[in-house]
Amino acid sequence: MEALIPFALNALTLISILLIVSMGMAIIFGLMNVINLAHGEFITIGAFTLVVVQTLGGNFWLALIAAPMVGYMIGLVLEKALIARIYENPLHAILVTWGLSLILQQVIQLIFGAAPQSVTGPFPGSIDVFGVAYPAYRLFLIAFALATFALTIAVFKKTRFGLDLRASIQSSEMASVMGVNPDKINARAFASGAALAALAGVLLAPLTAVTAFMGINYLARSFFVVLIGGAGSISGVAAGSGLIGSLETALSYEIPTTVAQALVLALAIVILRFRPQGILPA
Amino acid sequence: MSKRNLTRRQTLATIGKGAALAGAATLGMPAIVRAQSGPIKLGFLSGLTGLETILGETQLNCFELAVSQINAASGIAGRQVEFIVEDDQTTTKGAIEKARKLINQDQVDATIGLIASLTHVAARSVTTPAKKLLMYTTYYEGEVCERYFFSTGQIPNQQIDPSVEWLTANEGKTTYIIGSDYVWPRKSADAIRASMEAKGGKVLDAEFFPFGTSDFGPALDRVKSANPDFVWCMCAGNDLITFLKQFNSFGLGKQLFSQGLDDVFSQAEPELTNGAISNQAYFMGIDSEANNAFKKAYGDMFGADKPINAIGEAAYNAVYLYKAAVEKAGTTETEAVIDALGQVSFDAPQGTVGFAANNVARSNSILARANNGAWDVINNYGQVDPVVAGCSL
Repeated sequence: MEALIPFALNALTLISILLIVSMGMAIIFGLMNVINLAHGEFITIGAFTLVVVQTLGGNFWLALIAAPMVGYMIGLVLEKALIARIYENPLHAILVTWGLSLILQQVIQLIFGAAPQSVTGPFPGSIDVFGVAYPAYRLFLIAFALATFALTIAVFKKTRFGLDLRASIQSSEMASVMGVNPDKINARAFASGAALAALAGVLLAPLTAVTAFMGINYLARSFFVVLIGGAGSISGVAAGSGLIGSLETALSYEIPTTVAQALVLALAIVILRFRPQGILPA
Repeated sequence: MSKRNLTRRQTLATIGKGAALAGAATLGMPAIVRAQSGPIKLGFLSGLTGLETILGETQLNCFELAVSQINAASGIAGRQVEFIVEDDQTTTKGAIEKARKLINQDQVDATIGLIASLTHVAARSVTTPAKKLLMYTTYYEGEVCERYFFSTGQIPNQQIDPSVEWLTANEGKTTYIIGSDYVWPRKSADAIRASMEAKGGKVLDAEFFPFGTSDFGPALDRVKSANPDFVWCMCAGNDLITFLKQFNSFGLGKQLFSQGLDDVFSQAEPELTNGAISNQAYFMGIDSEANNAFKKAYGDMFGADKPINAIGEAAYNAVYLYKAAVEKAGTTETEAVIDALGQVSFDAPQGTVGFAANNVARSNSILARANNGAWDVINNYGQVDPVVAGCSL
């Protein structure tokens, strides 16, 4: 029984990491159908917001509030300047967002340099969970990721913005006839996705090396999570990250991690073959 | 990457002018003779983006420092040195493509650099068949025996063996290896196993993780259950930072050893590295006239707060050893330079270095413990002759 607790907590940590990095992707790719290859850089921007806030003397909590705002503003500007022009053409979206990701990486490296940035997370110690000491920050990460997920679901299911967005995705024309401004809704949705990714960046920074290229590590995996979970539904992200995170952790206890990751991705392909809509489609 | 001492346009202009001037004078001479005037061209190839970004910048700086010092002091045998910088992105594909470009398109006289071992394997697959000189400046797993490949970093008998000797005597007989999943950690793990067993110790387990691993939680859980005397980490580049963050947060209370740690890591993360042990050929704390001059020159060029590590120092040494060899050979012709490389030496910041018969540099072996960003020497094994089984070139 005692051996199961760290296993369960480790699985929950990985699920939370996947959940938090994929939520923005679920909106931008899952709902809006924009293949956003700059998703990783939105995460990087969040982590660097933490770097800037801490350099200026602020703390982690301030960054946790500031990063989504920075992400939202950058998302809003990018949507107006670039993304709004390419909704009709997925190929253009791939090229534009790929170029954007390269530019963002280099700009961040030019400003901050190549060396990893030093950041300080809250809760340095461990907490006793049923007799097993587990890093307190990881427990916070799990709780925060789940809370953010619940809040995002609530926004999409219960608010006017969520209704308008779902309406304009189903039929942009019909929605605009009913008085919804699709341009405005799209901009706000894209910016929200960027804000969630930036939030993920702050949360990941105390666990990982903060560099201009850190976002690359999360791009492919968040695509997979969204596809497996079911593009078009926010709750699908939970299913996707739950499946991939728990399987990967379980397998890594039995076989080499590299093989475990490959097996999980292979399994994901098999699942998509038989359930192309994902586990929990919209 | 554009603020180098040489832009592509300048190169073309220089080559163009040179060709026009030299054309009439040397018409009819064999190509090899024509090549022996004008600037010497070096290629710098390394991981400036990707996993090894943290180390690439320092290595490039040290390389640039050596070239600028040499050029300021009338060059190599009176010829100025030009260089071209290429980024292998810490990938096999990048290293192969960029090595091909440097050799075929830029026609460099020698290529210097590289960090992650997968890139030296890749670059060698281009340079060795082409019979071009490649100088590798990072500590690595050794076991390479090729005429066209020289290395100025440590190999296992210079780095791992002395460390194991001290660790088994002072920390305990068992260790648990966690590394990135590629050639350096895997082959080094074999060397560690052999070395540990020779000292009556044991490697309890070795685990390898893909680049960009975001969660070491399960691995650290297994380390805890296995309860080794010390943990041996061979995660590379940025992943080493990720590992340090998570290793510290789990608070296992185990001694950490990693021969990947150096002044670059300890200055970037003084708290995370505190107390960890490493073995390098060079630490900034080496107190010698040569090192003080080296550090001052580096600080003047790149900023006094910038750290220097063994990979950088070895790159600096490689340029100077190449210079000595060209001057001894009296030509940049590869075969003659390679013959001369075995006979030259350089008063490096770490001490006098030169190549053994297996093309690996004799280098220091310094065991040290990180202390608030600096390194306290535990044991200095002095200069160790490199051993590559069955290799004499």
